[in-house]
Amino acid sequence: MRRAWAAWVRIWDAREAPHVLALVRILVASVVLWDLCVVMELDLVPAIFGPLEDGGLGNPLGRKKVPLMYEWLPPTAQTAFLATWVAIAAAAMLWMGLGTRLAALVLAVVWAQLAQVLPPADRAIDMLLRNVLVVLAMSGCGRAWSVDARLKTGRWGGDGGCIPAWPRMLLVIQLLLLYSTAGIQKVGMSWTPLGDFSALYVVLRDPTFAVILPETLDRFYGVTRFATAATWLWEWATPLAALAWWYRATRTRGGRLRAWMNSHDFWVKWVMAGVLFQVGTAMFMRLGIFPAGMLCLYPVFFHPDEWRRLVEKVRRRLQTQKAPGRSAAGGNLETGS
Amino acid sequence: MRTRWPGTRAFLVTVVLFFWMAEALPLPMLSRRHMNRDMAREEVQRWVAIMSDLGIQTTEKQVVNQTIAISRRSLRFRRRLVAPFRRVERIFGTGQAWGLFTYPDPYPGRLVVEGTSGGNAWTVLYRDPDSDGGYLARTVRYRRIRGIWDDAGDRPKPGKLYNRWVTWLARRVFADHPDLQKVRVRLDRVTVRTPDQPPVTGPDQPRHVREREREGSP
Repeated sequence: MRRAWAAWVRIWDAREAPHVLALVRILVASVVLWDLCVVMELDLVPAIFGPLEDGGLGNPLGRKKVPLMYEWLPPTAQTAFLATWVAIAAAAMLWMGLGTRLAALVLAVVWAQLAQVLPPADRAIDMLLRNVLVVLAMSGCGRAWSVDARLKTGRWGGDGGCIPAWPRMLLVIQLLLLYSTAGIQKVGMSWTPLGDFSALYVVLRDPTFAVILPETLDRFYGVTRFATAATWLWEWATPLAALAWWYRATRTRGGRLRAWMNSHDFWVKWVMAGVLFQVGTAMFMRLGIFPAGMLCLYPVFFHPDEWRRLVEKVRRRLQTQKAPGRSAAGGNLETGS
Repeated sequence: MRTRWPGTRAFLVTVVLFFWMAEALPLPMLSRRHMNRDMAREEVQRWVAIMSDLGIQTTEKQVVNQTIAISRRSLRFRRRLVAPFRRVERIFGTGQAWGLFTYPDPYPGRLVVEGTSGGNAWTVLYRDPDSDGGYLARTVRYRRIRGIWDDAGDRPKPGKLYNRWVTWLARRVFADHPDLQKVRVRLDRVTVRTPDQPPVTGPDQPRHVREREREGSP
């Protein structure tokens, strides 16, 4: 038991480069900023975030637990505007990496207040991104590609020091938890062989989300059935993906299953299928910021060292293409010969 | 301090993971309202047939009552389990409920917004999913606004929120169209049938029809 606990402590004590979390910080802040700008542009602040007494659709003052925002400040549309502007400023600061931790925390808290005004206007993606913000607030995501890093080290990229890896690991678990429970809850018959895998066809025909014409969709009914089965299987395979993630991180250890999963890149394939799934939802359904909000978290699936290796590989390949005469030299350097 | 911190952090992470998992547990949370929907009725009929094939005799009413009873118990259980964590979650608006398209609805609603300058000549201003990219279409399609009418309209008798939303929308339409005297909003019931099922005949069924008159109109 003591050895297991010590191993558990070691896992959460790991450190890594800050760039993956910095990238997630920038992407999340971009999505939130975009969404709040749409709210402003469409002039929806009083309706969505204001109290009923001042033109709002929700009735926050009539609820058992009144949002703190309307307990501490006058329940008016002005307060709603103030809170929205604070959220926008916090999102912009988070994007820049200025007072990063405080910005993430303020954004999460103010966003939570706004969400309580009219709960049906707050979607699953909002909750997920707030979960992420709380984790980012406790992370070193501001140690690279930020004003904070520039002020502290004189370089936008930071001093090259490492940050705790646990926030990124926690975000991976968050996504695994989301996909696995979403899969288990897909108990509607149309998701299963009992209901002829028609779920995606039905969803894509829903006028609320529809992008494709029904006649076109009818021609590709077989494809939608395949996509339904693939989505269902992919989500149900999430516990296996969690195992593959662990095996990838401990690839030097023995075991046939570990060796098999690593040699077949099970983890990479599962993540890539997820990217396809999210891109598909972005292309064929009207879901607002959901696909973008999900995809901006995907960088956490890989360790910063893996991203660094990938970037170097792409850079080398591009250099080889640009200067074919120098490719031989590059190759020699790489192999050390 | 440094020597104690990794252990404390691992403990805190463990606590967070426990509550995340407790909250995310895919327990049934269905109420009588959910079970009254056409889609739910069809699902129940199918389950009764499957159970009958397996030699378990039951009725639709029994399945519904059982489902609601289990849902109530599991909801109580989860509430107790995550109670200490909920206070923190309320501050940050966090949570773990990830039922995404759990039951695709073969009877979805189609939002239709119409206006008239008088008489019976109604003009369609917006009809889901068509969009002219205009202000009205962008407003009703915006995800937070869609959440309001989609949630509120997804019940046999939409309540106060739906009515408030219609009034709000009508005011916006009147402001953009000074010629209009009345605005009508409805959520037509669409029946989705797969290509291998008998096709649906007839138009969508008008549902949740609400009309608003311009203030001060004769």
